[in-house]
Amino acid sequence: MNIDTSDSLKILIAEDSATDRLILETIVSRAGHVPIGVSDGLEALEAYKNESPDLVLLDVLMPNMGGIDVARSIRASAQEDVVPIIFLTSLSDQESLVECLEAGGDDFIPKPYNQAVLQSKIKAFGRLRKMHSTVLQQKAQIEEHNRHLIQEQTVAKQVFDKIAHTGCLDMGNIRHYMSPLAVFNGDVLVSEFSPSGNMVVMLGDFTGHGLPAAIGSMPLASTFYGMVRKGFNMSDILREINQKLNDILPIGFFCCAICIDINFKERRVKIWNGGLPEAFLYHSNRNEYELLPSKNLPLGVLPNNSFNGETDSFQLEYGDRLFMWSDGAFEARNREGVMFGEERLHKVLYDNAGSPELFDKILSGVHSHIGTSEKDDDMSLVEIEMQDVDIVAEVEHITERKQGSLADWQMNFVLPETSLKEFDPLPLMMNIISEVPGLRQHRTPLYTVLAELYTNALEHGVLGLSSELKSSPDGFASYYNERADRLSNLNDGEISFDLAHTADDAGGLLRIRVKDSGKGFAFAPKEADQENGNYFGRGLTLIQELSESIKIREPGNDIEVNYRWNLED
Amino acid sequence: MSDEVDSDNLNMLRDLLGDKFGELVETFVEDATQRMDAMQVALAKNDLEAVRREVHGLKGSCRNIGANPLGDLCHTMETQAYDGALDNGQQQFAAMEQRLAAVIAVLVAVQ
Repeated sequence: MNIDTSDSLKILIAEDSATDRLILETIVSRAGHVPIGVSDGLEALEAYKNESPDLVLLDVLMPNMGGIDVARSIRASAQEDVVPIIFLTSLSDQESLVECLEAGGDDFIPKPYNQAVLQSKIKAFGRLRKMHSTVLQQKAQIEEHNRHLIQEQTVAKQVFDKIAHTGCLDMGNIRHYMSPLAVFNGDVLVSEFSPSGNMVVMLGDFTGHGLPAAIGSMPLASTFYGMVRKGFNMSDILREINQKLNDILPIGFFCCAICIDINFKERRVKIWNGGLPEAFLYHSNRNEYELLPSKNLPLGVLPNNSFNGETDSFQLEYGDRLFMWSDGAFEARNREGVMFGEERLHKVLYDNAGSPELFDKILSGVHSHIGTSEKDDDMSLVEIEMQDVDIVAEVEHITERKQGSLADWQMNFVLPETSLKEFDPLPLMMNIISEVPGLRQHRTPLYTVLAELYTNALEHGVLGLSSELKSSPDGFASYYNERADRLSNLNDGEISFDLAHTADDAGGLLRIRVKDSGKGFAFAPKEADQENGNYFGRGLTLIQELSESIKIREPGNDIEVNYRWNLED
Repeated sequence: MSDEVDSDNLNMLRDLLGDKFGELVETFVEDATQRMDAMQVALAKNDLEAVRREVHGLKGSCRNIGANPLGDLCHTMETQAYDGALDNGQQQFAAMEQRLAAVIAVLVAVQ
């Protein structure tokens, strides 16, 4: 007899007739299973509890407790773990068959017991039982995963709330609604005051759903808060976030967003919309809306060199309101799957133009549309009113933060020949300069100035190259060959940078002084202009155009440039 | 071999049980005798529920053993007990006793 222990089942046999029990037990053990024989109903229940059988064979008529009551009791006690019950009854007992099924029986075996029939039934139920326990096991696994997931989401939400709610969303002029589902489907709303007292708000909607969508809001929020507090302007912030998202998000994932910057003193708002539905700007004096559609690709789509961070400016009056929302607002579906729709949303806006309850009306409109199918509430809605906000109270806590950014500083940076051969000092200096809020916008002209000064000091100063070399037809090639040659053979030389920055209310002054170890060049101040053409190429003219002043100290290896810059509004 | 016990079924049981066939015969004899005793008491008290229970049990064992004529007698009596009216119970009981004796004789003979 082929006994496979892994398929061996524990089978409870409850049969009061000793003859029948003996036959059943023999059939069961011959088939490789383990019989547990009992002779009445109470014993059957006891054995069921103690032995946890895989299959139960029950006689209908037994002393103490009949098979039907035993089946009911087993079914009442078992939660999910369904053990098959086969009744031992003659099929002629018609009246009891229905009762057996209703009590939880799964099948019948008639007397006389047929070995082949009984074995095939045991086999079938054994397979079923195995399948069932696999399902149960997987179900438990899924439940465990689910529990884990919910726990993770709870923690993630706490982290997220901490990041998102440190801003100024609690200001009286902002009303916002974000469904819990929206947060985990990648909607993000952040707002903060800049050091100058401007309120900067960003509403974002990441593509996709669930965790992959929500995760992008972390770098977005931290970049946003960090840069707004330091006083970077909106274009720079957008550019930085775009770069970050472009770096980290997979292809096809991006963030539709609206960013606004409100200057309460000037009553001016700057807006950038990349991919979100058009925002509605309500002008209270004209009682009409101005629509602000998306003019840009969403954040994270383009590399920074083709990203457009240009903003539109609008003049506001007190009482003017700006409404913006993610597409969840009109994609909300009711039970029948019908979307709330842009048309319905716009109708609510136009029907209630100027009403202080408009925000609530939009919300209740969407919610009554979706009814109880809460699952589809994926909406974010923001209203910002232009108010005479008490900026003073806010600016106090901002000035504290402002000390965290670079204002007045100076540095001396010296490169000896060993570094001159390999190292490009410009990115390092640009990095430091970019730490000054407001000065970052001047990166391009500043880079040009620094690059010209450094090239001059290295090539004409330390390496002693003459720009006349460039004037012949193949001049450039031989100039750069000569440059590489002299650089690799350089034994002695040095360039030093002295940078000093002072900040004031309007902006600041950056003084740049570059000295080199070269011989310089003899020149009379009056001749300088003529010499410039040869000596600097067009470099000096360029620096003069870009900066406030330039001073060349004799013998010409020491140049000082003053770069004055003004804050944007 | 008589018609009292189905011989095919008996052979099948002998194959199945092997060494335990003797035990089966003993068990059957013991169980059937006990049930007949209990049935006699129940008949005397006219306790039809008890009659039905005992005769039902005996019927099952008879079917399994292959003692079909005795099983049929049991079935008739069980049905009548269930319906609440035995048609001359003592006479039926006497017939069952006779058949049981014949069945036991066959079983002991093949053992």
